[in-house]
Amino acid sequence: MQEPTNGATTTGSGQPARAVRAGVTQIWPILAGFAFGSAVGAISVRLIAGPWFDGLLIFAAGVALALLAFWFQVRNRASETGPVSRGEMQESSRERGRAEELYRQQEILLKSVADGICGVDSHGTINFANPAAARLLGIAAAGLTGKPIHEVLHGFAAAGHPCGEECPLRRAAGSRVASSGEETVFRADGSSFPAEYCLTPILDRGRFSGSVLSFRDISQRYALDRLKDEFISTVSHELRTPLTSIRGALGLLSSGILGEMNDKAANLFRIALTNSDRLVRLINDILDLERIQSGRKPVTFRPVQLGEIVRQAIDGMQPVAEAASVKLTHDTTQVEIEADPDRLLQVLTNLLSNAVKFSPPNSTISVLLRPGAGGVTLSVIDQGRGIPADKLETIFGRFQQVDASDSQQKGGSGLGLAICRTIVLQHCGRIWAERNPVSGSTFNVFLPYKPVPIGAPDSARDNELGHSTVLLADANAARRPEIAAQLSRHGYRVVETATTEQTVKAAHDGVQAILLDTCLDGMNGWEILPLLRRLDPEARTPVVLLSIDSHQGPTDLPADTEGWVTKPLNEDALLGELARVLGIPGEKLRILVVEDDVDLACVIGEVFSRDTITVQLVHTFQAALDACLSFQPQLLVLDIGLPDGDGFKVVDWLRKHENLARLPLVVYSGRKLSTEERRQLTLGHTHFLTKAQVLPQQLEALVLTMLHSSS
Amino acid sequence: MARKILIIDDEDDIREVAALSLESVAGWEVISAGSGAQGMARAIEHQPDAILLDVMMPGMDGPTTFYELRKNPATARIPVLLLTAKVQSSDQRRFADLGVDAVLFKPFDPLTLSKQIAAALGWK
Repeated sequence: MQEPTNGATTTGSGQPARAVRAGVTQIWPILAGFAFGSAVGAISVRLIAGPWFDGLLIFAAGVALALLAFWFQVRNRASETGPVSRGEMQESSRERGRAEELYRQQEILLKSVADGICGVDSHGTINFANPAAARLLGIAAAGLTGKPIHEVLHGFAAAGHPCGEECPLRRAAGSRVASSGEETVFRADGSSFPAEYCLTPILDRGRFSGSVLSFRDISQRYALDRLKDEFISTVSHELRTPLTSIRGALGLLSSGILGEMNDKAANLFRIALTNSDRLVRLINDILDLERIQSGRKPVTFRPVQLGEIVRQAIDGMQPVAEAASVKLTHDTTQVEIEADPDRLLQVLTNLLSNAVKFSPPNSTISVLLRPGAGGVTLSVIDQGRGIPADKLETIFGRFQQVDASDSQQKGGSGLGLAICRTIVLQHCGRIWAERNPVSGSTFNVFLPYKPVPIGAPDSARDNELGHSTVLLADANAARRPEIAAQLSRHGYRVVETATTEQTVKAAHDGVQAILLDTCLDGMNGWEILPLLRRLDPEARTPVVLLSIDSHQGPTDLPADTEGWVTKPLNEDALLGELARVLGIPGEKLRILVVEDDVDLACVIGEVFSRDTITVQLVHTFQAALDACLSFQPQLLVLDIGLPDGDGFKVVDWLRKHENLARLPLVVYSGRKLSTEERRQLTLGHTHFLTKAQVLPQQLEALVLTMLHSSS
Repeated sequence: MARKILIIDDEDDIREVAALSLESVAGWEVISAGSGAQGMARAIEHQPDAILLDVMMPGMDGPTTFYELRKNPATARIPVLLLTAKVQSSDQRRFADLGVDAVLFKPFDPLTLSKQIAAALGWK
């Protein structure tokens, strides 16, 4: 008998070779026992490795006598055992090798990462901690596993300062919602460090199976912040000291109190004084911004009358405005919100100051207040040269000017708007700028009635705040997000739906109003209404139909719609209609009637007298202009023939004013007007009526429709 | 009414400008001191109607000088106004706790400095 001839497989130390050797050792005696004795001669063995089995072919005198096949017993994952060939076993061990390699790589990653990472099970107990976590917490990883996560982070806090029920880490530990924040972490030895943490739940096929906590030590960041604060404080102080002497010296010289000087000298001193004042303002602003942003200038909220603050700001700006020949006006809306009056005054003064700086002489700046659900939108409208569309966002950044020439001429620090934005954000509001279609800009500030973080997930609280949630049902995927964005800028929480089914599902108790597009996935708005009403038989949720054709009148619409807005959609019309159906007090519709025939004017006034409309009657051209500015009407009924000027001049004047240039008009004339005359009198939505031919009720219907429609 | 004011500030230029301001605008008499120690001595000697005191000075700083002034019966009743470039609210709280009569800020308007002092102390 001979030893197996191809030794390669049998000489290795891996599993296959060992098995072959073991098999051959066992079988050899059996073969030897056969009575092949001396007649046979040599027995040789050849290894066969095939796809299905490995085997040994046994030869004697050149004839194949037997085939030994080797199989491996492998326990697979499901605890079954079954025979697999060497090939399969090698394959699965290669797979295991890859898995082990991957695991090794992950282990290396977890070992090397500087952040502490802990795996936490669904009961809040640590089941894994990486070396960084152990190092940061001062406890060996083995000592961490099995402990509740909150105890490990806060358990060693000094006895006198336990965290309460409200502790974010305690709440986060068993939560299925991701959370992050900054918390103080206490080590086993009682020392502590500020940490930034992030707790992410693990969902395994939809099942909550635990979380991952990652955290890092941010003491260095805190130290840097402190250094920055100290630096700014020191620098501010250091800069003020020499400026005191400069300012003092220039002030005395400039005043002439120390002696007469020629005009050129006087002018130079004036320039020097102005610029040293500017430097002081800059230092103040930088310090201000840093303090506000780092939370060192706390905001205190109390109920304030916004109209009062507007008046204060305008009074304060009056001298500057007069010097620039710019007129400041405001509307008469009264609205109370919870805010910090000093900070708001700072914002308003800043906005007005900018508006005055950029307004040409003899122009007007208007401040308007528009109460809505959730809060009020304040607008400062100027007629200056406007802001380019691509700069509307960037101007709120620090040290931003619209262009380089501004800073020199206008004396600004470039920080005013950054400070405004910070203050507005502290009030949980929003500030944004718009470019006016005709000329100038409008700066809008939305302030909620109560400063509550926007997007607070607590829907119960939303409902407490009042009318915050509206359902927007519009199949048009391009338009719907835009409308939703407009609404949320004004404080509404918007639930968007695109199909009838979604709408019906979403129209539940939490929704205060439904904005329904007239065509929702094939079904007409009319048809959806009965579906909605079935859910809400008492019809407590008002429905506003969108995209009404402007030809349709109120009688064409289904009886149980509260309101409607015509297409194309106008933001003001939508907000106004929404506010109206939600019963927001304070926003009456304003109509200005310009009619020199006093009796006729009274009749028209009577036509519109009702709770929701305020009518002002004027009888002369000049009174009309004044009223347009101070009363800010939403619609104008205009008699063409006025004693001291005529309707044409009124319209021309209106065309030049930003916020009035698209005012809806009803033009009344004693005679029929020519096409050319009509063209000259058209602003936005303009209707022409001949006096003798129109009944008051027709006028009423027309005006109401126009008030509801876009311009 | 002619007043006598003592200015204590380590910056020569600020002393000079403040003095010029009070003399030419209000016609007041001004005495200067360049340090807390010098200020104490001048205060005892000249008995001014009010003291303008800087905060950041080497040696005896503003608050220390203030304590000394109040401890000494010869100067305890003289009103003290801080004139400071430290305008942060944390500083303001510290100053309020000191018990000074008023706090004025640098840079100041030289044409109204006397008015500010008078208003703060309730003079005429």
